Amino acid sequence: MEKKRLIYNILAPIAGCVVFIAVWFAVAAAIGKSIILPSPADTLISFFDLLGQGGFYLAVLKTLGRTLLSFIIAFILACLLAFCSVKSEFFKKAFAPLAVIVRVLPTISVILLVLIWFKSAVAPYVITFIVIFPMLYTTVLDAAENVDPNLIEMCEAYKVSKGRQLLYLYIPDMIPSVLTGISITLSFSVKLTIAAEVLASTQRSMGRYMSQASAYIETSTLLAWTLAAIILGFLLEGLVLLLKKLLARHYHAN
Amino acid sequence: MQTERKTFDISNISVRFGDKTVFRDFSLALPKNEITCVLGPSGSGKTTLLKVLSGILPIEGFCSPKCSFVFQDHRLIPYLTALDNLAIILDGDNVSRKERARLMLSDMELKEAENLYPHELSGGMAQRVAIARGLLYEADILLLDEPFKGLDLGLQERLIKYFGKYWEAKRRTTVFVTHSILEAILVADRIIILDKGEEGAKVVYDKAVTLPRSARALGDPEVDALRKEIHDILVAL
Repeated sequence: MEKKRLIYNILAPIAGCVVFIAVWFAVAAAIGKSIILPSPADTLISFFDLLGQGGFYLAVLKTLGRTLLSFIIAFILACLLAFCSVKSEFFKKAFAPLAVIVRVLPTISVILLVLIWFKSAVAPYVITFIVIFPMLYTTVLDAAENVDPNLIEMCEAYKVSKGRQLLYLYIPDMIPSVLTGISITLSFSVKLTIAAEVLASTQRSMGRYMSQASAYIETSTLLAWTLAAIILGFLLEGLVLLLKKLLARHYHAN
Repeated sequence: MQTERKTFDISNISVRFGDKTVFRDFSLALPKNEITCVLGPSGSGKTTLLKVLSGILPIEGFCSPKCSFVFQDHRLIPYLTALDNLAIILDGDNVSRKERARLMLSDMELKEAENLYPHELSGGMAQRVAIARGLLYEADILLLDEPFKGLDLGLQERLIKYFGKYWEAKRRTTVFVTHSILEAILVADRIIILDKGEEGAKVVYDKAVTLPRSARALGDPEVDALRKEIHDILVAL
């Protein structure tokens, strides 16, 4: 059993990465022009070069800050509006068309409109917020609506206060699905913020550095920044999943 | 001199679900500090009656009293221990709530379940915790909706015994819905049968059970006769 787990959880992902890197090496060697496709080794060298530059850390921190701030604002608002929707069927129906419109709005339209309406320093926040807000709203609303109605009925029958219901029933019940949604949305937010930074040419941002690398056809640097973005998204997703595990243990979920 | 019997009155309630009339101008007097058992076919409005009484199903013109409700399933919050499942329904500071909950679990011989979560309890233990919750809650009326349904016979008997013992200590006005005639005879002070009709549910049988609870058992002529009488009515509905 332990051996099977080792194969599935550790060896299989490693094998997948090895195959991917081998194919990358082979294709880069076949093309033979690092300006078009640098090898994984060239990319790693560029990545370590970036790690030695002070601007790298500032750009990563600034991008991370923009991502988290937009995300937190979107999440708080999503929770408030989902709460209103749970409490009032009228509000839910009234808000539904707006939520759907924002959800199906093409991301590129959002980006282009926001670039017209807002300054480049603000644009990444607004773009990330607009795109992820409906995703978070749907996640929180679904989780709240899936709380066991029998337990809600029991709480109503025993006149359990709303505060206690929220603390001991709603929050623990909603945590697994909301955190799964958050882990997906958060790594998506990193991608979105960087895309917005590229198009808005935001100062001191990962997107701006990537845009410059692309303009000067420094493909290995561009890939190194991409690697940094992947690591950032991966770390955020991992942290949320770790939090989910810890909270599941805390609440003794069966 | 004849003493007036105190009752909690339900007067002229009407409930409709779409086209279906469950109650129309339905009235019922529940004797205070007694157990009224409600029998009847499925869909006759037994559970709806409990929901109206508890206020879960609010209806115009009826002011719900403070009720505790023991459901068919235990409905324990899965993220709380047995102790906290009892404490959450109580008022007061944290220490006193837990103390009262602990005492009740101990009285119900559930001390060992105190720190266990619902998924760690057996079906019977979880239902006992739910009954303990119903008995602990300071309410005017205790409502039970087939609380022993689906449990094996031995466990049912033990739970009825536990329930009877702790009910006697407080003698709260109780409405006990069941499908089991024997269960009704063992616990009731009064048995009523509800039947559904075009014009909503109506009471088709209403009888006080005068035999002392301790004397009620299968094989007792009075119990057997009552069982047959109720059986015949239910079969005919």
